[in-house]
Amino acid sequence: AEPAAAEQYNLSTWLEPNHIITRKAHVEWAEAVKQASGGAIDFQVFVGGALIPAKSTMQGTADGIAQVGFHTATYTPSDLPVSNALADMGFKTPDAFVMAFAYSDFMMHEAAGYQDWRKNGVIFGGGYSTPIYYFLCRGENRTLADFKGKRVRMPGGGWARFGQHIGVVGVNVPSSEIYTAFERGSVDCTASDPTHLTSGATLMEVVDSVTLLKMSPFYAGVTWAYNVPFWQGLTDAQRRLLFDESAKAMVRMEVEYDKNVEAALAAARQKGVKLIEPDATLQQSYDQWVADGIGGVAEIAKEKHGIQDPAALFASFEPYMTKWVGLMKGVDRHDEAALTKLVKAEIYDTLDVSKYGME
Amino acid sequence: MSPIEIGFLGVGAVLLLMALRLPIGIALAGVSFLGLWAVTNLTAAWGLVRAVPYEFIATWSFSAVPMFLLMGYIASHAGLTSGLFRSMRILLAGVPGGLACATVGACALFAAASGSSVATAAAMARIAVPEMIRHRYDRALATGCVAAAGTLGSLIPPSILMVLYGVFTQQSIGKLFVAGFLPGLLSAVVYMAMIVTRVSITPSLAPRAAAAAAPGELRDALREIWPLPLLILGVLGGIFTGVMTPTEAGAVGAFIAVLIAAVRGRLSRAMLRGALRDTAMGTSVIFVIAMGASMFTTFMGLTRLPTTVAEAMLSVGDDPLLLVVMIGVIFVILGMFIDSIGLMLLTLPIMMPLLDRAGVDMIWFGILVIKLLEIGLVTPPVGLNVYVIKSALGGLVELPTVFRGAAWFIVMDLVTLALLIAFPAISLWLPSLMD
Amino acid sequence: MRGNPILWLSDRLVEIAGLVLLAMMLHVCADVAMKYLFNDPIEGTLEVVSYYYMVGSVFLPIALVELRRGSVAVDLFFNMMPARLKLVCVGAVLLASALVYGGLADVTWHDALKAFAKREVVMGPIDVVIWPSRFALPASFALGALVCLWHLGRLLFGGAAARAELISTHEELEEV
Ligand code: NA
Ligand code: NA
Repeated sequence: AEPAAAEQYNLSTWLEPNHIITRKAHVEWAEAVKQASGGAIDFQVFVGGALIPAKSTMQGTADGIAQVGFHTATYTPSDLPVSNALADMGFKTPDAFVMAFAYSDFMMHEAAGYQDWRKNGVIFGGGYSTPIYYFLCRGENRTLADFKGKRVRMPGGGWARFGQHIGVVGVNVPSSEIYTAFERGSVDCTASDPTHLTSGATLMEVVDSVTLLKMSPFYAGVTWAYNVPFWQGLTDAQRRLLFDESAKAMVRMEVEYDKNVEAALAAARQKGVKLIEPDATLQQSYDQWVADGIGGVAEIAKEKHGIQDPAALFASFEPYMTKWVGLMKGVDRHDEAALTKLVKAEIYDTLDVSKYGME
Repeated sequence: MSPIEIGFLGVGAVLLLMALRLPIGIALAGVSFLGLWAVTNLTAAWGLVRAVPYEFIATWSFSAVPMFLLMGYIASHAGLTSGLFRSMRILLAGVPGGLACATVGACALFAAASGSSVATAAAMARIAVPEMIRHRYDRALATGCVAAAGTLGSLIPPSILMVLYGVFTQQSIGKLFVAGFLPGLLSAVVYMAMIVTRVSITPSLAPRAAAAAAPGELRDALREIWPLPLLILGVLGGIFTGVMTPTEAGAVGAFIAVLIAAVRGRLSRAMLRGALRDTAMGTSVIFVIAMGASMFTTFMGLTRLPTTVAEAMLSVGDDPLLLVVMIGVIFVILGMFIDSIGLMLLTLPIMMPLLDRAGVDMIWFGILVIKLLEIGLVTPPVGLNVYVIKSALGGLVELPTVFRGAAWFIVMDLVTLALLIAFPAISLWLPSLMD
Repeated sequence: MRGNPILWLSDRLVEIAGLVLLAMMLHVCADVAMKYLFNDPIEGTLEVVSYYYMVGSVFLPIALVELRRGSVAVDLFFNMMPARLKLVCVGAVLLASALVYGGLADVTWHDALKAFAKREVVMGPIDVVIWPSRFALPASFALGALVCLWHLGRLLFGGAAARAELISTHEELEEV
């Protein structure tokens, strides 16, 4: 028989080692879990897709290459219709905390959300949200007219549709080439979360301005997708332990993100990057576009993602956003303890770990 | 059996299967599958086989390789390269191994346009090696020179590998680019010095041109050469001015080659068909190996062999110099088997905290890492650049010949590394001007 | 070799891969031209290059590469073997190759069917349908396996000439 050594599990993410999500929600989470479980649950974190290629992370986790995977829903739109249909809701409420918590809440408490992941062979264990997106630009762009005809890298989905709406030329630059593309002037702007100014591609070296038009953050994904046999093989206490650590990690990550945004914008301003408030033409164009249905988000949900009744799906998601907008109002956004209490109480503690994911 | 033991067994199995003449890509993929099965379970092993082939290939980041290959094949099938090499041979008659030196120079120029070592080697293999062999250069020298000089593609900016390193370690990509410039130049100069010295000692490696070229010969040759500089100018110009990404430059370069061939009356259906077929086969051969190497990286990662080796070797202490040297040894050893990006991903998370504690400059370290990872591209048994050359040249050379030729350049790389470690200013002086 | 459907098909697949490369060159050039002359790049170029041109040019030639036994392999030790051992070795290699290709064909076939069932798309600035490209893998791998088996058949039943051909390597260097 095998010696009773503590089993080592694998966590797979395609993000880089220094990414905020990797540090706060994977590396620190894995350490905390190991500690809290007395070494019984020991994850090795594989970064950068070194274990499973990015787009296959969910499938690979379901197959058991990893026991926990970080998966981006928009990478596999055909597998995750509900998650993708909800991916543009953040345009209505461009707020990272609200979207991270509301999306997680929905996925773990609504059958439609839960089944979206479960039928792919993984259990949704908590989400995330990047900070809201701004335009990072070479040159200065304040008005709707300024953006017309500019070559802008859009991440796809709602951002790309909004780009079309305001008349930018969408260019496709892989993230490994974005720095060089700016350096050589082959793109004018990128819609991106402002932490990229100082981390990742350190874009503040090659851009001149940030247009502070608040656009949706990116949140359509799962921070901890669990392999089913792994999840079901744990004890109730261990599952609860993972949930407790996930609540802490989710908050830790969002707070860190928020602090990073402030620091990145400050550092960029220091370096001479202009922070530009959008003028009324641009803001109104955005608001109108959102009010008119986020560039046909309902039709896309129906035709592309095969959601029978998009209105009903959005209506079931709406209350979660409203609820979290309300809950976030009275909270200090850098108070980890208060936020953790909130996330635990509203998202995790209401789940029964002897039932969740056990069918 | 423990996962580590399975890992060592897997390395042994790959070596054995390669020796039995199993194609390298198949050996890597097959062993990875069986190894994963042993370490985890059958479902997970199938999961990897399912995930990797399609996803590994279906990415933009590699797409420069087939385009540069195509450019090289069209240039060589249409005979656009011979004139240039003929005139260089006459012009460089006084330099021992002149063509090989010129090839290193051309690789360095190409490297300044392409972000990838494999793409640089792919483009130059077909252009330079047959010409050198035609001029009776030693096959090992001719092939090793392109295999090694191709690695300048990642050291001289732009560089995909540097972008990844910068993102992984939160270092400024701009500074890394600037920092790579002098070390890249130094590498090229060291290569050339080695070629000149070796050829001076053993002139048979690279026979010189006949004593005096006939007066008309140079003029005739010069008349022949305009296409290739035009091609390179088109490609480089496009990239330097920011108009084109490497893939775009490769495609436009191939297109320009077709146009030049047409102008010179060398464009025929048969020529184009031949170039396209050869490019397709070459692309396939290279990427099947790369795919196998990627699966093998995953297998190695799961056995925890690389991390265990690295951790064991890094327990030597906190002395920065000792640490850097040990890391160099680790990269050279692991780089024999594991592809460069995978190696960086598996080991950097272990190394970074140690380097941080030792106060090592991460820009300087980045240049060393790139140089070390590039050595892995030309070391046996898994040396992607060498395979690229071999597949581009088919029956023209044998695999061990290329590895043997590259060995001299690896020795030179170690010299360059020693210089880079001894004089950090080579890497850090230019970026220091940016602050 | 005429009239053998395996050989004929292998050849056609390479022709297609060549055309894919030609299309890639022209498509990317057109994108560059559109981008800089008219400020109107061809949308979806990145996706089509990745999911169609790359996939087509890498996988489709596999069968012909195997047919010509053109994969990169180490001849060094093989060339030292006595002729009989070489035969055994080539047989084992062909069998192993056929198994690996066969396994890959099987697993990618099921994946292609799954992709077809869900009409797989990828979402960039525009959505690109990608499931058809998935079928290039099982087709190429299966044909690669068949080619290996065909060589194996020749090794076992093809007589001395076929055997001599199968154990020859590129030992004799070509002239330029
Ligand atoms: Na380069
Ligand atoms: Na190597």
